[in-house]
Amino acid sequence: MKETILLTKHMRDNPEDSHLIESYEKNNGYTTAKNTLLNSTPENILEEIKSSNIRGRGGAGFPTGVKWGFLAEDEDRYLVINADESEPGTFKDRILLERDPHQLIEGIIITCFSANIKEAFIYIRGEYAKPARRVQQAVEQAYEKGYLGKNIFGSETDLDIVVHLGAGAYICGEETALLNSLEGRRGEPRLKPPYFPAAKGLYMKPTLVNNVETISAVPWIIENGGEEYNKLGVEGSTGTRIFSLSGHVNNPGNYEIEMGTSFGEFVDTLGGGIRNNKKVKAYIPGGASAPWFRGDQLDIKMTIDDVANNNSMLGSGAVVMMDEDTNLVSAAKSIVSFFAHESCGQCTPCREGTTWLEMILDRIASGRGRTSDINLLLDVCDNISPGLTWPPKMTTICPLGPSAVSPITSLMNDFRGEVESLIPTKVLL
Amino acid sequence: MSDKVNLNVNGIDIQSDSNKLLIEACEDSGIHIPRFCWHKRLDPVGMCRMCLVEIETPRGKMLVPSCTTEITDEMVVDTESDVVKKAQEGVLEFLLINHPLDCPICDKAGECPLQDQTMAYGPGESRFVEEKRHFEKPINISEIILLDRERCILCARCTRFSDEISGDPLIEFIQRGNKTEVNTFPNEPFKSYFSGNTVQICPVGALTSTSYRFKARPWDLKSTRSTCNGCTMGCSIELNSSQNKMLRILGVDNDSVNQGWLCDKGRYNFEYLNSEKRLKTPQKSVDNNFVEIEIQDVYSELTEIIQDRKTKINFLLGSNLTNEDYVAFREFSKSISDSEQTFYLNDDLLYKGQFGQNNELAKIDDLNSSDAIVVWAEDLKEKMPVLYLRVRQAVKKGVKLIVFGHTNETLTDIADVFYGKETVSKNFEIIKDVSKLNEIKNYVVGKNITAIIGKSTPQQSDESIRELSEFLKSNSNTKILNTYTKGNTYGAFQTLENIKGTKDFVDDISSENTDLLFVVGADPVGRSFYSNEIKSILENLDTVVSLDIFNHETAELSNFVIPVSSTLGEKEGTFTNIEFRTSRIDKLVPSPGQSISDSEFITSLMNFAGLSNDINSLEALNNKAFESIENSTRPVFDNLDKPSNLDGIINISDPIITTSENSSTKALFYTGEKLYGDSVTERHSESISLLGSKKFIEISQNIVDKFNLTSGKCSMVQDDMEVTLSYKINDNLPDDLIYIPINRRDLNKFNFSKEITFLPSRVEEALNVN
Amino acid sequence: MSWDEKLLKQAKKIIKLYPQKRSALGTLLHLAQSKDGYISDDSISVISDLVGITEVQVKSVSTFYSMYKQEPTGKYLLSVCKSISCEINNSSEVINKLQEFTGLNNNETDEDGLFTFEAVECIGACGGAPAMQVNYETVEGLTAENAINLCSWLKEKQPDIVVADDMQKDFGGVKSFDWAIKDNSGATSNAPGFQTLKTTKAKK
Repeated sequence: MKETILLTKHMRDNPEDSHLIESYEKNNGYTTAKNTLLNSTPENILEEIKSSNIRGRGGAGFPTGVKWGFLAEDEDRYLVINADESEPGTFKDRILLERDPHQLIEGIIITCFSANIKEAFIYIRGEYAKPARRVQQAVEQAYEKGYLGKNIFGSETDLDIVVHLGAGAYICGEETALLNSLEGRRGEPRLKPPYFPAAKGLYMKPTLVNNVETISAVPWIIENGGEEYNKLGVEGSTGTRIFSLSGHVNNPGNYEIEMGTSFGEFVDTLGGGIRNNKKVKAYIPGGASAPWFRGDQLDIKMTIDDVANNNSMLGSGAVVMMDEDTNLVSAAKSIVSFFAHESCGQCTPCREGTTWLEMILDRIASGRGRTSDINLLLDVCDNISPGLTWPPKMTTICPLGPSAVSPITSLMNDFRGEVESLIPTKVLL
Repeated sequence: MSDKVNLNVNGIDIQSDSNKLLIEACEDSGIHIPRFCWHKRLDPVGMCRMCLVEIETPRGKMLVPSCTTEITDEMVVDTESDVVKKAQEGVLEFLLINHPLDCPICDKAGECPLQDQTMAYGPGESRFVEEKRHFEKPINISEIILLDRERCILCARCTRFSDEISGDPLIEFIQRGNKTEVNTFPNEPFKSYFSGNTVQICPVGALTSTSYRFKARPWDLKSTRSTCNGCTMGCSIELNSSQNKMLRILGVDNDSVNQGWLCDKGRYNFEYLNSEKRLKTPQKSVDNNFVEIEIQDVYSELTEIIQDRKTKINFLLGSNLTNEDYVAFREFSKSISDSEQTFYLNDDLLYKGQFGQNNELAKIDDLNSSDAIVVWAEDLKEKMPVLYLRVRQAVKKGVKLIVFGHTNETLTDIADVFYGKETVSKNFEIIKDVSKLNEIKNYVVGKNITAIIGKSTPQQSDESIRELSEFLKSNSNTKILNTYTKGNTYGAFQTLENIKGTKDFVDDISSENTDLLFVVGADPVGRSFYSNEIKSILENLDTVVSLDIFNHETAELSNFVIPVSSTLGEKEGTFTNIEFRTSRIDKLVPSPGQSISDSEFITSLMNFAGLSNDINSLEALNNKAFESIENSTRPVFDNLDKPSNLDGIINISDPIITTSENSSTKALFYTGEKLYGDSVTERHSESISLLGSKKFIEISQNIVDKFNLTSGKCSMVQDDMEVTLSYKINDNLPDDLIYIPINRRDLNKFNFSKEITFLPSRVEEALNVN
Repeated sequence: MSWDEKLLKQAKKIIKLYPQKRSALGTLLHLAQSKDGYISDDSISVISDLVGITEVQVKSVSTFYSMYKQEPTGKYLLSVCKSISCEINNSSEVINKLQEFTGLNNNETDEDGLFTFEAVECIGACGGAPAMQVNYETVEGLTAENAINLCSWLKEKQPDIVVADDMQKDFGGVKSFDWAIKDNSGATSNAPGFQTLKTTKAKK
């Protein structure tokens, strides 16, 4: 299989200086935004986005056009770009920020024009220091050129962009937690209902929160038309998507492909196969929150719906391959530890439950498990995510708690023997 | 008006107001849903997850927190399904895995929601074999509050209270996730006037009061409902005692008044009741020494004086009497003479106020329904802390707040408009044409206004206050909340016919017109703007009888000192608050020694002296107090004890206050009071005794510049008295003005009608020599 | 107030960027960290004044985020990733060897104030696992040996600016993606990217 290059085109064509405005403009950058502001209408833009059928690239996969359409009327509305990419396995926004920040800015200009927004924030995770520098530099260049600020491109449109750095909290990738963080508060998710950002977002004003990749796709969609975009990929998963491939593969990296091929084909061709010709024991199809697939499930198609139908999620597009030698209990423990560490602590089941799960797994992994621990693990999971179903039910405020359950149910459903083998059956006296 | 909606809970159809949350709607219908974080008076946060229930949705049954779910018509709810029970059990187990098992030594045990709900819904045993989370055991986060973080279940009630209700977020979540703890900023104590409320609403024993720590077990407590007489707010309280000792005061949720909250002074200023220093026996001054005397002998000596028909009697009454006490003195006076008796209240700020037919009086609840609140009065936060909370609540709901003058600077952070020194001069006169102020045009003219109006300092002229009231009345629909702040002042207004204040006392009283003076529950010599004047008057009177619970400077100048019971917890009666709401005062503990109530003393004296009276019981006094009020709303005991009247009954009265007009004086200082001071009760309440011990004044920036002050210390000198104290710069003070909180130690010793010299600190001068 | 004029000026400029003062809190905390290497109580007091919230509110926010350090840190903050992709690519060996080399446990700082060590959650370098950051400058495709070489080099040269590209060239291996652009910018403290924010254009 081959990549389909839309969003990563400019950076590939101009590897030395794709981050600079001069290079971006030389390749027709900002002409779409300029045309939009001078010749188009907000309604037209929204129509194109809707007809592209693009779905959000942050993880939840909500249709972008519908999201924009929900935005409540108000004098003050905001756009917040979610660049808090922190889902283990995911590094696709990093490349877009680092190597083609102007594409994102152009997308922001068009989006704000369509949604009548005058102020946008790019919330970048603090650990992305270099990407943040690049974006900051790009924003400054855009201001200098008059592409941001007052009367952009000589139009009536004004727009300001503020680059804001997070400071180490995965939970801020959850949109309402991100808004709290941007308001200078603890990054704790808000209650939904009533705090849906489209109605009560930043400063309780209507706010669009979109992922970096989603907005970076906007210039291409507007330039080429929503219909063209819709032709790519498959129904329900249109366009291209940048997958972050990592784990035990020969060629890890970001790959922009049309959705619809199988994970197996993806790994074998673009990924160059599993290292040392090993077999896949299990893999994560969509970031650390997603339930795992077994090595014999590599023919599942890489679409939002196919993955969902197999009781997992395509999520943030992070594919992690684990070969036959992988200690899956350690792998699961790593993921559970991650969520325990990143739990905001607001609600009881997540705050107490994830840490407890981590403690039990740690006991088992270090050979101090008890036979009752397997049922205990599952029951604690059940108290976070009742019924252990997919998509998960939850006793928690947000899905972070249930995310810690995913690796454990995966382990217990398909690799229970691996866990049991670590529990000493006889107590030596 | 809200619409009704129908819902089905556990198979039962119920109806509720549409604006309710599910947990409330269920509660109203007698279906209890367990909860920790949810509190009726706080914004819901849905954090503890204990109140999860199942509702039916188009996508099947869904677990939702009932504390954040708004009810909708036809909603189908299950609060007892297996899924719900499992979830609740799970939450309890999660809460308990890190909760210490120190119930046997925890103040909360026995009245602990976590303990109760564990018994009702919890798992039988623990499956948690790991080490529990540890924190240093209780740390003092203020003089009066202790924090045990191990017990905390992170429900955010205390943090929300501080942020939403009291507006002083000094306690917060620190760290995140499993490491989250509640704490204050290092070295910055939980310095709030309202911190005790967080102890009351803490669902575990994480926050405890120093005054109650290890003192009793809930099952040993006796309790009764009463009314706080600390200021004119009249907060509903519950008194708790054990072994005849008052141990705790809790706030009672009186929707129209305090909504469950109390200020810390109201909550903690009770330990004095148990003080060894309480007066216990009647005393008589003999050759400048006090000797114990039988109460019968007091009666007989006073009878002799009274029976001389020419004896001229006067009364200086404090604000801590019950309505029945006031009536007793009224009846006593009537039985002696037909002429109209003037009663002097121990109040430096008494003035005529805005009463009568030309004034529509406000209720506290009117704050929430007005368009704007206008304040020009004593500092609400210092003097009526819970009224301050109600103003905050109204402002949070969107009511505009307009504040006049530097005396209310604690409101500046929530005020929409603050008319500071540019508008209100240091002589307490409004120096601008109010009608031309833009914000007044926008927020006041033609709008519904609640005006919190009162005299802020003895130097303020009555005229300036009246002018503002008149402007408001003629330009908007204004209801006036006359703001006298001391105790049962409104009870005195309701029961006494002719009232004057300390200023008039000084002007009127001399040995010419007074042979016998009763000073009741008052220490004007120790604590008044007019201390010096009153002292010299008292020194010249033939006979002064003091009734009080402690000895004090006024008592020391008296011929007889009678120990009396405290209105707080030691007697029955009624109290009338700022909106003329009358509610019950109740007795829970005995008073020490030979103490009797004020009314018992005076009626016994009447009986002893053979004065005609028809008072044979407290009920009789209570009936007499409200004779003129029609039956249905008459706040007599029988009426007040009906469940529907526990929150009190309002009867607006038209008091006869005949103070002489006070014209503005041009002084370099003004006096006021802070919440905490050096009063005799505070000195004898160990937990709070240090809170009002610091001496300081507030000064304007230009005084700092003028004197080149740098050390933080200065001195005030008068005659041979010199007080060294610290100063705070207050930017809201007009130039050349000093604010003196006279309820702080030594500061009331000055004679405020004579010159006081202000000096930079001597220490500083000494340093400057080199 | 213990912030000098220059820093205060910068802080006020930052506050102006946002529609509401409090939004500047996160950035001001980064500014505080760029000054001291951690969030001192002193800085909390200054920020509380600047933003108009209480000190404990500032503390509450600052302790929520793992990048705001609560204790003084070394000149170089070594953050080794331990999340899933790194975990299955042997990050534990890198962690163990580096701890051995520096003599530091998790979240400890050495006596010379040179290194602070931490094992952290995902830094978005999963394609170049195992990976680490030095003052938030990323190095990918590490081996335990190269990680030690990197730290030896830091110890010896003690550069004032650490540049990801330099470290990657000398001590890195497989990358998450082609970095392509030659970049000499780097970090001067453990307050990431902060130096660029100061140049942000004033709005409107």
